[in-house]
Order: sequence, then structure tokens, then C-alpha cells
Amino acid sequence: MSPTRGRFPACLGGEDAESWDVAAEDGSRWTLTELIDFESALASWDGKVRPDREGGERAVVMRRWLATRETEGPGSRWVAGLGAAALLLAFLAATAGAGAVWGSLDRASSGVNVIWMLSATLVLPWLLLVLGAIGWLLRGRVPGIGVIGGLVEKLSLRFVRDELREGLERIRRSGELVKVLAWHLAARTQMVAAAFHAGAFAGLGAMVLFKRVGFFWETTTESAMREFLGEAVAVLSAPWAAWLPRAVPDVASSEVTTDWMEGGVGWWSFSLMVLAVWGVLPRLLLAGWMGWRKRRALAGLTFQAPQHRRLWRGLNEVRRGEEPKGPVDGALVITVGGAEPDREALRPFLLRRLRMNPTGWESLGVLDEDREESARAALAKAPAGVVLFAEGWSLAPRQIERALAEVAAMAGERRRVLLVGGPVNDDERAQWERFIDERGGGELELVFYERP
Amino acid sequence: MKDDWWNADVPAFVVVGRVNAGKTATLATLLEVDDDEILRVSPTPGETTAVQPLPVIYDDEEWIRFFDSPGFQQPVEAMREIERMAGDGTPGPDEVRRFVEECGDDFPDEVRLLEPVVKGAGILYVVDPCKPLRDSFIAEIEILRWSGRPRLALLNPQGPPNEHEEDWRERLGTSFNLVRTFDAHRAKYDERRKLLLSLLQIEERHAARIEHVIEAMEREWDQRREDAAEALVDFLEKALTLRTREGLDERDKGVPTRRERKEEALVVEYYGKLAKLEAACLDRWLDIYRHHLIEADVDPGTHRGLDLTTEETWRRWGLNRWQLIAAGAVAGGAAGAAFDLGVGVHSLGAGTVIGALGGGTAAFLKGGKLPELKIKLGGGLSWKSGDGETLVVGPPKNPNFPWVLLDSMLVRYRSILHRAHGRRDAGPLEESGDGFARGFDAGRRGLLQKWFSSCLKGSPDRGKEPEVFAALLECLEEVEDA
Repeated sequence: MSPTRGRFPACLGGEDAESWDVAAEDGSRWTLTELIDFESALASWDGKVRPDREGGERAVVMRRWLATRETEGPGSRWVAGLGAAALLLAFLAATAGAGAVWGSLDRASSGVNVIWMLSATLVLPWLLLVLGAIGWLLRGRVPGIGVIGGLVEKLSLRFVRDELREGLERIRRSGELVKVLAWHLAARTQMVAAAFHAGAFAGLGAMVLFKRVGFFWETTTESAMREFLGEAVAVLSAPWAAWLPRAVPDVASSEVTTDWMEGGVGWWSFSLMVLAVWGVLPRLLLAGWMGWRKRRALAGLTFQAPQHRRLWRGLNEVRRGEEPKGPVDGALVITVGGAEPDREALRPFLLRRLRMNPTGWESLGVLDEDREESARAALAKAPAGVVLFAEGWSLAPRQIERALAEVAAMAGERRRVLLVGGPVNDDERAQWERFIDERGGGELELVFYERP
Repeated sequence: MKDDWWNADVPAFVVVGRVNAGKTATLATLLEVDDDEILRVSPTPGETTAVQPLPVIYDDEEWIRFFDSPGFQQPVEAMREIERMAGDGTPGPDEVRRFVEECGDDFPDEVRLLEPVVKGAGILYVVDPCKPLRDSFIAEIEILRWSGRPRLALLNPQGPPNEHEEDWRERLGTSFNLVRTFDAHRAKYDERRKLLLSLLQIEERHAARIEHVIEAMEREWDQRREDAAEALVDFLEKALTLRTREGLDERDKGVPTRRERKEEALVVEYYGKLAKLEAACLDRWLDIYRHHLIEADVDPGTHRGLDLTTEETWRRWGLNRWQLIAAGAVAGGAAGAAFDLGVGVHSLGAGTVIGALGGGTAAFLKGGKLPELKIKLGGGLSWKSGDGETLVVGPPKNPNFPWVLLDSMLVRYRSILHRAHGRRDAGPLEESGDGFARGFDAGRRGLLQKWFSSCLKGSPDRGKEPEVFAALLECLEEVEDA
């Protein structure tokens, strides 16, 4: 799988229609439940992941990763909870809608003030929608709106549990979940609003069916209101005026000062049509459109939040192997009796003459027991061999014998060199050679080094 | 050598050449190893004493193995010995094998370097084409030709071009399957990739494994770039939202010198913290690109690293005045447009115009100034601490600040990428050269400006972050090619 597949710049263009088709074909379509489960799993992810070698677009690979998580996420609970809340709200809204209609009935005169009724059941809900949309558009851009939003957020967070608060923070940081959830909630809100209008429709229908009521309007600004109402009725009834003229009320004759009870007959059918055509229907259309936007958002998931990118890289990781632990020609130089040769000067000699690379320097036959112990430990790690360094004048047979025995025991088949350095005169040279000959040097090489 | 040094299933290539031809540096750059313990690169001839296997492992599987080898020390004598073994015939692989088996005492280095060749390894022959083509080189070329293995010659120039290169190319062309240039001290990712592609051309038998390595290397490179972009986004966000704060009591407010001292201390603290953020990002990049010898040398006290106090910094990096005005106008206009939209376009676009004019004017007025940190008095009445005000310092007022910051990082990113692993000179990261921001297209400038503005206000726009990440990823890709 190439990391460039499904890489962001390609997805950023967001050819939603195209990605929708792709999603439908390759089974990468996500649901809100899965997305919540995914974000929840990602929040508790420990950063370890087995690379995914099957390949595919991000949505497909991420879904496979989600499937490997054995624990059940909170997605289904959240979605069911939202559904139940929406249902409850829809019921309450329908009741409120019916209540709003009944509330606009003047019991003394058995008349319904059409302005109040339509304001409460139609104008007010739409006004709320418009204000909400403006607030959403201006969020973070106009001072004040952010403050209000922040205050509302702070207040509401005070009353929820820590777990839920963390969940909300996760949602906020994952832009895509916010987007999908927003469309989901918006669609549900429209259904609730549709239920409100439907409740008003049912309430008005029941009122007309089971009660003798009239419809009127009243005002202090008579001509202005008449004119306004006339225009409003003309606009609102435009969709059906041609084929259902009975549902177009006579504004003038329903003014409360005239014989309004008779004159207002046309209002009930008009109000029912208004609630159906300008209330329920557009809300259902809006809910459908928002649901479609939600599905499109789900089909076009790019998974580009920082945590998503981290997971993606983990799933696509190419793990480069470790480098070798050390050089194969590393040799250990052990000085005997505390000799301290000039390392910089000795190194080229060891490299070129002996073809050994001094990687460690230790000492044997010294007072410091720790240094001796360290030398013994290092003996086991020199792959190319061991160089025992002694000064020319310092031949103490027992000491050298013991050091050589120790080196022989640890070095095994590795190369062993006895390097005699410092100023070495002819007598000393002869003594060292005799010493090696007498002990039957075997694999031990005797080399003399005199600093130039 | 250990028994497991050879594996017939893994394609192997041994890097050979004369002593000090740059064999180890070539491998160090190719495999990105700057650990001198493993691959010793030194001007001293004869540093490499043994054949060092260097496996290329991806996802726990070894795909190719390279061998670093000691250089030829006596090629003419070795050639004569092999010719002697062949008698009247022409030397070939059998004679080379016999040479390896029988001549270890007399030609220890030649035998060591030819051991993998005899086993079946392909040959990467490294030469310095600045040196004259002497007989000893011709002897080396002949010995390698007799081995009958796939052969690639690499010209690793260690000096300015001269007349010898043509001689080399002519001679190598007759004995090697391919001749390529690979400057071990300058080669970048693309040259490394091309070198691996060249291996494909000389070694067909293991094409699948070599292709796998090339693909893994490409994916790893993409991955690194994404990691680097993450680090950059993280750095920019933290740097632009950085503030230093300290409470002011009544005495601070009453005595101006006390307050000034506090301000000065906060300014020093601000630059110190900024430098730490900068160093953290650079360290992460060095780690991502496997550099251990160079370091991010950042110290505002000595003006090392990003030095915001010099005019030079502001002249070389960041946007120019007109670009800054345009970017400011775009960001201001976008905020104004949102207002227009919010009020149902009843403002007749006045929000957009005013926002664009305001953004552009601010950029014009402040864009040319040296940085001066914003100093604000915040707080007033604090619910938690009772009364008292807080002195808040940062970020610089100059709207070019984020762009200068970005450019300074991109310039150093380029230095990291241009640094070959074969180099062994330790030291601070180079930071010379012009910036990149002035070459960005208007769309990218606008996007980044909006995000920078949100960060400078202290609340980064999370919604834009993915787009910003993608834009910076593209920037890094462009820097690689620069």
C-alpha cells in the first residue's frame, strides 16, 4: 500500500459525488455509529499498531483497523440515545404545536386570532432556524457570538460527567465527526420541527372538526395590517390558490370589527394548507437534504485530523531494520600493569599494520578492581580480537602469563596479539621473544611497536 | 568473519575500490548511516580493515545486503598472481576463486574484499575520477572483470572536475555494466534512489527484491516527510500561540522601572521558550532523517539559530511587503465576508471590503518593522487570584513573523536534506540561503495567513488544520526539490 494512496491532497478537493460512488463500490461507507466507535477507540489507542498490508483508501483501511478492535464502542448507544431523545422531543414538539394552536383560541369569543396562531406555529420556528443559521455562520468571526457560545458550552459542561466531557472534547477535535454529527443533529432537529408543525396541523384540524370556531385578526393599524395580511396571504397561498380557491381567505371580512365569524371561514383551510405546505413539507425536505449531507460527509471522510494521520502512518509504516550493533573489526586493547599508551598514535598502527580496529580500551593488573572487572566484561564483546599491550621494560612473567591466560579463556578463537610498546631495546626485545617461545605461544602473535 | 555473513537467498553487493576512494562514505550515504562506529569514514587511508556486512532490512526481513570492504592495496601484484594461476589461458572466475582460497597470507586485503565477490555478490566499484587513471587502477578493473559478477562503477569525485574523468569513463565503460556518478558527500535522496535503480539494471536475478527495497524506501521517504510536516505544524502552532505572563502587583504598577524590568525579563523568557520550541522541532527532524552528528544550534542569547533581532533575517525570509499586504487583505476579507453572509448580504459586501482594507493596511504599516513583542496588560479582576493584573508578552507585532518563522524552518529543513550521511564533520546545522515563502502561490499564502492569524489570536483554527498540514507537506516536498 502506498502512503500516497488516499493521501490528503487528493481527498482535499472533496469531489464528494465521486467519493460517494467510490465508497458505494468498495464498501468503505461509514455509519455514524462506526465513526463514533472509531473516534472513541482512537482516543484510547496506545499508539501501537500492526501495519496493514492489504492496502486501500483511508476509509477502507481505517475501517479494517476498527474491526480489529475487540471492544464494543459507545456508537450504538449514542445513536440510539440521540434517536430516543429526538423521538421524545418530536412528541413534545407535536404536543407544543397542538398546544400553540389551542392557545391562540379566544374561549370567550370562540375565535382564533390567525396572526397569533400563524406567528406561533410558523413564523417563530422559522425565525429560530434563521437565527441559529446566522449564529453558526458567524461563529468565531464576530465578537460576542463566540462569547455566548463559550458561555453556553461552559455552563452545559458543568452538568455533565467527566467521561462525557472528554467525549465531547474528542468530538470537537475531530472535525469530521463534528461535521457528520452536526448534519445528523440538524436533520433530527428538522424532524422535531416538522413534528411541531404537524402537531399544530393536527391540533387545528381537531379544533375545526370538533368545535365551532371562527378566525379573526385585529389590529390598531388597520389599513397597514390589512395590506400586509393581504400580501402575506397572497404569497403564502400562491402554491394552491389556482386549484384550491376555497383555501384563500378573505382578509377584509375577517377583521374583528366586521362579521368576522362568517367572513373568516376560509382561514381554517388556509391555515391547514400553510402548516402543511410551509411548515411540515419544507421541514421534511430540509431533514431529507440534511440527511443526504450527512451521508455525503460519511462517504467523503478523509481522516485527516492529527490523530487520524498518526494512525494512518502507523498502519502504513515501513519499519526500517536496526543497523548493525558495531563494527566487525572491533578489537579490544588491554593494557597490562597500568600502561597508558598514546591512543591516537597507536590507532593507525593497529589499523594498518595489524588490520585491527581498536574500539575498546581496558586495563588488567591495576589496583582498581572495577577497571579489571570492566576489562573482563569487555573481553566478551570484541569481535575481531584482543590486543594485550605491555611496555617493553615491564616483562613480569607471572603477571603477563596470568593476563594471557585470562585473555585466552575469554577470546576463544579470536585473534590474540601481544603488543609490546614504548621504547624497546634489543635486550628487552630478546627477553619478550624468549618468553613467548618458552611458553609455546601457539596462536598468539608477538608484535613490537615503537612510536615513530 | 562469522559463518552467517553470507546468505545465498539475499542479493548482495560489495563496495570495492582503492584505499581511500570513498567506499565507506558511499555506503554511509546510500544507507544513511552516520555512526562512525559502524562505518568509519576518514581521510586516513586503510580505515576499513574487514568486510562489514550491512543488511537492508524492512519490516523484519532482509532484502539486500551490502558489504563494505578494505581497499585494494596491491592490485598489480594480485593481478599478476591471478594471471600466473591462469597460465596461458585467460583468467576468469575460477582463477579469482583460487586466488581467494590460496593467497590470504600475501594479499590479505584483496582476498577479504574478493571473498563476497567469489560467493556471488555484485560489485560496486568506487573510484575518484579526479585522480589519474594509473596502472594500479587498471589492475583492479581487470581483477573485477575476471570475477564475472554484475558490476557497477561509481564515480565519486573528491575534487573539482578535471580531464581525467573522460579517461575513467572510457576505461570503465569497457569493463562494467554501468557507470554512474555518485558524490558520496553530496548525494541526496534522489541520487540514492537512482543508485538503487541502477542495481536493478545490473542484477536481473534479484529484481523483485531490489524493487521491493526501492518501493519501501520511497514509502519510508513519504512517511518521513509526513512526520516532518507534523513536527512543523506542531511547532508553528506552539510558537504562534506562545505567550509569557507574569502578574503585576501594586508596586509594579506604581514604579515604572519595576514594570520595565518585568517586561524585559518576560521578553527574554519569550525568546528562550521560542528557541526551545525551535530546537525541539529541529531535533525531531534530525531524528526523522537519521542524522546524529549535526545538532540544532539554537541560542537566542548568542543570536544562533533564528535571530529575530537582525534586519537581515526579516529581509531574507518571510513575505515581501506586497505579498504581506495581499495575504493580510485575504484573511481580513474572509472574516468580513463571513459577516456579510451572516447578515444575509444586507451589508452589501461592506464587511468584506472593510476586512480586506483593515488586514491589508495593518500588514502595510507593520510589515517592514523589526519585531517588537506585543505587550498587553490582561486580567484586571481575576476570580481565582483576587485582584491583580497580568503582563502578557508576545508574539511579535510584525505580521511577517509567522512567515519568517516558517522560512527559517524550511531553510534548515533543506540543510538537513542536503546533508549526506557520508560526511563526518560534526557541528551545527547550516542555515544559509533565501526563504521559500515568497514563491508560494496566492492560494497557499491566503490559507496559511488565515491559519496563522487564528494561532496568533491564541485559538488555532482546527477546521483548517488538515488543509494547512497538506499545504506544508507540499512545501516540504518542494524544498526537497529545491
